Amino acid sequence: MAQNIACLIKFVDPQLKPDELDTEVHYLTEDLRDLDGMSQIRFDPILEIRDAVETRVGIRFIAHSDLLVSILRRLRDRLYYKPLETWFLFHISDLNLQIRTDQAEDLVDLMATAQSGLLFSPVRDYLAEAETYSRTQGELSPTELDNLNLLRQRLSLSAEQAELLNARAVGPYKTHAEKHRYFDETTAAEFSRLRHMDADHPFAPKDPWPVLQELAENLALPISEAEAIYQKHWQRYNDEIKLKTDQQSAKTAVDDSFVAETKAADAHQNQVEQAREHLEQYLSLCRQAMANSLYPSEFDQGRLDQARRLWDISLDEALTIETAVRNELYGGVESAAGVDYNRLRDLLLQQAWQEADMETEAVILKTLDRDMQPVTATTVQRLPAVDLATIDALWSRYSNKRFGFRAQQQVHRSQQQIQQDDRQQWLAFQQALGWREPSSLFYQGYQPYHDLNFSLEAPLGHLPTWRWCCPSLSDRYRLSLDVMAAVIHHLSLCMPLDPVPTPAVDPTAPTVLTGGQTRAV
Amino acid sequence: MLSNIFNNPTFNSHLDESLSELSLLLDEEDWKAADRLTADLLLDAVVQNYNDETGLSSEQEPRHQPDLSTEALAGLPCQLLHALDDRWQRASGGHFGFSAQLQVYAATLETIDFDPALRNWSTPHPFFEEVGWLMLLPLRPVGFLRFYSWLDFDLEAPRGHLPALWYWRVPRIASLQMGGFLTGQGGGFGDLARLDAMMLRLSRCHQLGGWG
Repeated sequence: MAQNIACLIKFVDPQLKPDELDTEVHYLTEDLRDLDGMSQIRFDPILEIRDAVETRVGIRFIAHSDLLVSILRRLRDRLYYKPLETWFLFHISDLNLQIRTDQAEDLVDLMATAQSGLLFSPVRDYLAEAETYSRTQGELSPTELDNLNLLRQRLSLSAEQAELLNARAVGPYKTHAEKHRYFDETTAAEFSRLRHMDADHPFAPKDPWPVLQELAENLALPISEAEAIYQKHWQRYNDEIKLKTDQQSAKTAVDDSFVAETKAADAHQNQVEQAREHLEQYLSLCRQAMANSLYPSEFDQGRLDQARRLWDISLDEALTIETAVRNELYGGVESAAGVDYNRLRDLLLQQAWQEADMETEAVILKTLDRDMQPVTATTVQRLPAVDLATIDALWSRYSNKRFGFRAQQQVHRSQQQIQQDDRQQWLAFQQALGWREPSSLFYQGYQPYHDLNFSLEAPLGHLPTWRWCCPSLSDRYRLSLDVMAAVIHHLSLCMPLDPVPTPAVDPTAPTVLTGGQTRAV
Repeated sequence: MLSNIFNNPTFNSHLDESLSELSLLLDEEDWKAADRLTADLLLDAVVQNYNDETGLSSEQEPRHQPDLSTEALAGLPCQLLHALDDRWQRASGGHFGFSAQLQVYAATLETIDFDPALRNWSTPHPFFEEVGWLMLLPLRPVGFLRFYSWLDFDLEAPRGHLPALWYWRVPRIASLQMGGFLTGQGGGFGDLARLDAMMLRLSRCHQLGGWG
């Protein structure tokens, strides 16, 4: 249907001087008149008082709607060349279009609309009315349908066309209930998508409202209703998210700490492994350095110090390793009483038997911790088994099992098998150990301590002496029978011999030493 | 049960008094009285040890006369020996005291000319000669110790000469056994076991450390 459009174009650019304005209006008029079908159109000037002079500031004209596109194109082109701020006003039937711009692009959109024909067709008018109705309630009420019917007649549209347009206006969801349901479903779907996204992506979810709002508009569902639906879903979603976040934050905290721990553990593992490697290297170096002497030579000590610094081993660790190697190579010095057996080991290594025997007394009396009083039949049981074992192991190791408490126990056992009488047994025991000579009428057989045999030629079990039981030693080394019995009893508790009786040892014929000293490496 | 007289408070305060009295006597160079007090204190300790072992309280009278036997000497408290020695040493400039005696004894042990195994009474332990405890006049065969009153109670005496009463004070029977006339060690042979017990005790106490 042909329609006339009232157009008003007015220059409002403040830059333009009155004479320039006049020129612009003139050119604009010429430009528009050049257009096809515009030659007959009357262009009425818009006059305004500028600087006390009446000046043309724009034009007003009525054109056929078919010409709108070409008019707009021309206006747009003009703005391209000369962006002057202009005020456009188009009056299309009951639609007033006002544009005030100096940008050509702003006219382009209007052009597209004009080209689609929607702006002017009766279909557009009808549809606009139908959509407006549809949008307010979500469906077309009977009154609205009546109104639309009147409009249809005014716009001279066919009933079938109107039906189609009604359908288009209300959209695929005819009734309000359908729209409501559809929007509800879509919103639910949208939120479920959000949930899904949340699971995959850690970033904050986008607000789906703008899209849903558009949907509601397209559906012609009242926005307030759509918003209510949206709020309902949003609330539910938020509650879920919150719950999930709470759970996850707890879980994540655990996970995070676990991951951190694992990482730290890995790093730590590496470090530990490297450190252990270094320690092992240091260990073998220690073994080399101490293979020939209890303490490393100055040269070897220098090498060890260098290695210690290179491998970043602490002094304490290094000392521990050195001690461990020393114990491994030269016998342990464990003590339950905190007594230092290093000197004893040192003396035994040097085969300084008498000094070692004196040191044995010192360590035993220190272990007993009774003011260095000699061991008695009652106090002997306080000697810790660990310390006795250490002393025995050291003596045994450096004498090729000739000396030590075990050797003495063995001698005692062999004497037990020979002698029946208790007293005779103890005398024989002492004799077998070489602590006593056969007695005569005027001679009890005991000799001074200093006359004992401090060498490897001494009888089996001769050393260490039990001088730690003696109040005096010089005139004679003599032990009371009850002390001896108590010591042997305590030894048998601390370090029981194998139950299998060893073959009786002939106390008068010391066994020949087999080989030299053994030293574990 | 650790038999340490220093754990006994009454004994301790009594000991403190006695030790200051000893210091006084030593400062006055009353060597004889100091020697007597030293021996008394050692005997007190023996009694204390005995009471601790048998569970008697110190107020009760000991059942028999205590003596400084080898066993008793071997059990003397190191702290007491240290305290006594400390005062003797300080007063005499290291000339007297247990430490001096131990040093002399250790030195004589180094020289092997003496063989206790020989059990020859006429060859006394070189220690006795070193500290000047032997009879100067051969009243009796060589090897007899002086009577206690014949000892030199001044700094002119040989090193380690004092304290001596701990050695002289022996039970009558022991005195007789050693050839004395109920005069302790005096006039008899030196008892090597007791001498060695004391020296051994001193050296063992030395190993505890804290000995000057």
